[in-house]
Amino acid sequence: MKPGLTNISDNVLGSRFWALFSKEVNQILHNRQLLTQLLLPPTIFLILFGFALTSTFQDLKVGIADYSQSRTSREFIELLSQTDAFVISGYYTNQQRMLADLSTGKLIVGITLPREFARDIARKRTAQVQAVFDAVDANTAKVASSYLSQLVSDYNLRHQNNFQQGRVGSSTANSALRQNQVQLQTSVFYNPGLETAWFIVPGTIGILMTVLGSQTAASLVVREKEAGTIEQLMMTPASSLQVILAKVLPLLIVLTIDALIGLAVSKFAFQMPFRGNFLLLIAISNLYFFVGISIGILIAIYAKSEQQSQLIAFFVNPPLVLLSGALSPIAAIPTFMQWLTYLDPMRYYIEVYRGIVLKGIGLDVLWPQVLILFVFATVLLTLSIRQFEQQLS
Amino acid sequence: MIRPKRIAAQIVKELTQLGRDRLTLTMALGLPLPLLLLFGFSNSLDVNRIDIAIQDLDQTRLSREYIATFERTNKFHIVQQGPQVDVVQILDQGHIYAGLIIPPEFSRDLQRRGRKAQAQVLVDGTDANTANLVRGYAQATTNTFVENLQPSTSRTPLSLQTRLWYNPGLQSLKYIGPGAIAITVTLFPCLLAGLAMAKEREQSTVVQVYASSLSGTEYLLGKAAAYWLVGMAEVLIVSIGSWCFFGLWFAGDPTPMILGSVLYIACGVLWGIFLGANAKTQSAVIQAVSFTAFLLSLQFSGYIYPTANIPTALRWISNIIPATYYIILNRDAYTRGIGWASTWDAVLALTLLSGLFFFLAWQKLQKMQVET
Repeated sequence: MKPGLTNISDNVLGSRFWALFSKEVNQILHNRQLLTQLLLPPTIFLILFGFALTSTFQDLKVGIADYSQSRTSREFIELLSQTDAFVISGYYTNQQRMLADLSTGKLIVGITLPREFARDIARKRTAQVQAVFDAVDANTAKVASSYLSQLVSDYNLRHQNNFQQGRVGSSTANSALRQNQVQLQTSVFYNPGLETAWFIVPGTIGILMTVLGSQTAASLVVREKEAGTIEQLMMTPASSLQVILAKVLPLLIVLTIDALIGLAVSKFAFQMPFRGNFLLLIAISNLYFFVGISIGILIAIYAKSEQQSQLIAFFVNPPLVLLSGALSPIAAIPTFMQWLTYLDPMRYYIEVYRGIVLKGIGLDVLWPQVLILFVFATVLLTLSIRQFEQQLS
Repeated sequence: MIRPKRIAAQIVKELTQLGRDRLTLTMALGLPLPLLLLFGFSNSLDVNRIDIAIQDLDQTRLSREYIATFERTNKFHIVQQGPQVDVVQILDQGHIYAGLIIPPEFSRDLQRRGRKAQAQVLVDGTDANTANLVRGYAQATTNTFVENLQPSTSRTPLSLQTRLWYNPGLQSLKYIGPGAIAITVTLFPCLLAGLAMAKEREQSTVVQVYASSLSGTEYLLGKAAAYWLVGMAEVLIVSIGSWCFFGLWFAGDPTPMILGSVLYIACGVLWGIFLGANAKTQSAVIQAVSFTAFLLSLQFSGYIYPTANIPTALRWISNIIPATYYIILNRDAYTRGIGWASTWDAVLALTLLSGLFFFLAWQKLQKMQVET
């Protein structure tokens, strides 16, 4: 019943296939609900995800208890208000009251400048500044504390020479004459503005392509099963491979349109660049769509109704999404779970997507991922078609 | 008029129906635990091992000392080092987060007065949050290297004493874990209640309810209570799971969180009933629930990044999402441990939201009765 792979190419343009294909296209075009489902949510999701998940920390709320109340201390505080990262949300006369606000989550960091602050600096002694962070959110605390240390070391650098003058006694210890200085130049590659959206949006596109592909394929097949028309299709002289391919190909077109919408949203809503080869991305995306669609067909085999297929998808999609590194870095996952990510086809697609779009790299670097995707697509598609045939016969 | 006996009968009926549906039942009670583990472990932002490649063109004692400083931080893991390393290529391949280039004049410039030695660090900015941290660590490591070179007599004007409250080890799990609990119990109570409601409409069994002497309020309360019980069972499973696998235990008074769970599950169930009463088919309910209850909660509740990071134009969304408040309560119970002083407003917000959802569902049910 199943023709060899060599026959496929002969049959693709054959009239039977063409007839089935145009039937499916018509069916999809007539299904308004399905079309809106395929085209509207992706746009909304991309925009929401891109804007909602931001790691751009700004306006981290700072409380200040300034016991020194001097020109020197105010000068230091001035530094804090000059950066976008911090916003001073309150001055306190009492440290206890500041820490109470910190404990209820009104502040991210509470800074205490001691009474001796100005005196210590004037006498060339090291002044102590105390910073208490609300570290419930470990990541935010980390970022905030690294910003603050940066500010303090800038302050130190600026005042060091003038500070050490008296102590060392050298008349003109100019900064230009100091030894042992390292200037670290940081260049951020691929995403110089450190836009989180540039990380989240490709991940979200991967999620959407998988979820849409698998769910739509599942409900298309299941609906046909529910209505009992699948037997009729099987009775036709067309082989089951042709039946399935005819079902799948219109979906590929719709998903490609989705991918284009995704690219347009990335460009216009998030000013994301496109650095790689456009056709390569579309080709690999289509390869990946086969993975999602095959998963959908497999779901449909085990489901009796459309509703059941959607429920089964809840067992399949969350692990695929969460192990793909779409929304957070894979390197942050515990090691034993990192092994599982290698079994997740979405992981490779997202790597390829980010590679082509953000890094502008091509097949010469990405071939291992593409090869793995190809294996996934072939295995899953063969498996799903075989299972499908078995169930019908 | 509310008659407890009828409500109890309604609860029993709903639970019996749920018990017959094997797929849904497995989903309701079997899926939360795996989901909790996935949400807790896979959404960490804590990159503990930053892979780095170093191209050392200087190859002197000082440059080696500089590299050793990177090794000693135990944040960086050096993948490759040497004069031939092509940092940019490895960065392209995605094997490293950062590359460090030490130029040939490094130690000469370092020892010469009035000259600054240059070093260049290339950071993979694809993942902006990690890149931000990597940049900070690289700068801090360089500062340590320079400080170690300074004669010990030199002093700095300011010394910063940092205290990290509530989570001194900066463990991501203490932040993500409580959030994962909240996200895990978000989906199913809402989904199950919505499906049950839509099923009654799809199969028109709701007409039989109208014909019975059951009042609209009793019907709503009975249905909601049944799925609320299932939801609370999930909360229990998930809390035990988070204790076993994440090692989370109450840091302080857990009563705000317990009361919050009662309200939060009620919010979910009532919202599900409201959606179910509005939807024509069960699959429409599944989609409505996964969009409104699940995805919006995932993005706008502050589960991964704080809600303060969301652009102001969209931030109001997080204020009307129950998950935002429930996550606050969970974080207080498991990490912060302050109790009512820092959580009363979240409990109040959940009370108001569950009241609102009750009203919406109740009103819709009244309308439905009139329509049919």
